[in-house]
Amino acid sequence: MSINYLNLGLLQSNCLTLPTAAAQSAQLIYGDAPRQDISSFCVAVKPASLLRRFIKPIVEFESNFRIPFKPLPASQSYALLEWGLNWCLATGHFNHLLLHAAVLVKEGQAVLFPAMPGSGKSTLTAWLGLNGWSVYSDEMAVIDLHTGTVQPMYRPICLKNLSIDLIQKWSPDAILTPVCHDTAKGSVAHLKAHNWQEFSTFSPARIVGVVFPKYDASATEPQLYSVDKLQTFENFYTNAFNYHVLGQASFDILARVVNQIQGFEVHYASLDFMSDFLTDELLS
Amino acid sequence: MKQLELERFIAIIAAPKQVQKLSASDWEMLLWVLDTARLEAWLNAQLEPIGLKDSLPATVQTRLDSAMIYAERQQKQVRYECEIISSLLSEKRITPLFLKGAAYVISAEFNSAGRICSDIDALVKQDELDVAERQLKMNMWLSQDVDDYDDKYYREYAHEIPPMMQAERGTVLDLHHNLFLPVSGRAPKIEQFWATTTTNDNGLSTLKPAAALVHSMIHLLMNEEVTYGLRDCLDMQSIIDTHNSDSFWLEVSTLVVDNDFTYEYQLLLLLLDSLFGRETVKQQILAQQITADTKTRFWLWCYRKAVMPDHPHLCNRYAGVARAAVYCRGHSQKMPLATLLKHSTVKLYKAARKALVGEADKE
Repeated sequence: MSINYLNLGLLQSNCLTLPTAAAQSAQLIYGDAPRQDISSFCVAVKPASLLRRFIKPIVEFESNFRIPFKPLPASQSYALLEWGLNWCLATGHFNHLLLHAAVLVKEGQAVLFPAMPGSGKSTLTAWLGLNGWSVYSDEMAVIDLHTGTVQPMYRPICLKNLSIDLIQKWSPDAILTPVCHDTAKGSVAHLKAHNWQEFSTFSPARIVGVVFPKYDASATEPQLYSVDKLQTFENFYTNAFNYHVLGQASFDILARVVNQIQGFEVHYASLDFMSDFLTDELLS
Repeated sequence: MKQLELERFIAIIAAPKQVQKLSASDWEMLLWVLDTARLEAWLNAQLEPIGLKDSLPATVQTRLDSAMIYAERQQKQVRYECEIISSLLSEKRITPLFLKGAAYVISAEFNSAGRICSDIDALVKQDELDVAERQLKMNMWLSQDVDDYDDKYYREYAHEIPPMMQAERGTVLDLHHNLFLPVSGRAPKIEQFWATTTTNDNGLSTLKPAAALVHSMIHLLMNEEVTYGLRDCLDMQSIIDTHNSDSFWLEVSTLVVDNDFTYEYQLLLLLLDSLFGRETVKQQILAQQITADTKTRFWLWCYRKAVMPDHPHLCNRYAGVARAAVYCRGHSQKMPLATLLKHSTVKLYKAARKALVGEADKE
């Protein structure tokens, strides 16, 4: 039976229609999560037109029966669903401050990784996730407006290009969706970071640090720079999805978070180094 | 697909207390339907003051909170934009009169809690229009791209100029010189509306509630599109409930009679009564001895269906027929038949050309 709801942990989306392959991927990623009573969103991925169902098939993402963006080739259906869900959260969930950042948690302490595309953020997230860290999010830090803690989301990690092969090499048992080729981000596959049983043990975590990672294969030695509070604030602000809507509340909570954390920019070639660095420098 | 029955939906809108009886799946459908109608925050604003919100399911509270945060932020932006527009135009000694959603937000005369605006509507006098447009263009308000025909349509036939957009913030402004198209022959005597303006504590000008009601009525019942018609009906019911008095109704009647909108006025009162059934409206229907003949009953049926949110989870049978009838009526009100035929021919040609060869290149 096709999956008809996507429990993202933080909230749930009903899922009306998906092409078969995308439904199988959704089942793989979200299938073990129980159903919440009430869904907040209502999404679908459908053929864009009768004609385009057969000739060079393209599909559209629907949110509450509206189509917010242009169609994509049918082979990218699952990626379109995940990106569409990001859009739903960014434009329709104003209960939390949402930052464009990965969130990794260990011993109840959270480190945020805001980064530009191509910086190796998702690969680092996946690697840490396979090595004892809890992945609270690969894309979106969900920050409580009252406590400043970060909440987990039950979403996969979006791997691109070479990192797909790397993860398969590191962890042959990893649960990965089939690869979508030729997307705007190149080849894309989604990695299930945790199963629901693990996820259900996660609780809101205090943010202790922010790291702006930059993978540099040619670096013989890692380079570390400390990032001051003003730069950190500016980076968070420019990477926020809904800062402009939340206004004063988002300024206040961001200022509080920035004042209690350490910030670093790290150029690295070794993932082992990153793990040691995070544990030694940021976790108390 | 599960659906909410239309009468049940209308009953909830008329008396939001009824949400207490909703099941989880009814809540999902109700919130999605209200989102389409831009009324989620409105529902929050109805439930919060009567202490009902705390007893709702947690997910529903989260959705309503989210909608309200968005609405409040947008209202703040609307107030800011109105102040900027007013200040820019005052440099040219022009006082804009804010209309509809923007007016409800900036004036304490109206209850605007949870009201979402699509854009800002402002009225200036016709002989000030060119100066106002130039002054706004000089200050980052850019005319949105329209082709030559649409530009001519706006400037020759319509009561407004092509929409303007603030280049940095994306706010859209519709600058009007009347409340309805002059080419229709039914444009109201605008000086009569200018005479009912009021300046609020913030220095911004709006129509007085009676004139605001008449304008909203013209907007709803004289146009072809009623996508947010339910929101407009709720606006009007709110104005009536807030200002219900003999002097208010006298002002409304005077504007209606002087500008020949008696039929629309009667239709409006019957429509509001059939939707919300409030005493304030019933008393007026009785006092003015309004009855519905066959034609009025037909249009009442059409508008009652057409103003509802167009959403697959709302069971609204024959809504397509009702919307098509309203579409035709709206167009027939907007321009004389000969002009309408000419206008429709051009629009059809443009649509066919776009379908066949795509958008024309911009020069």
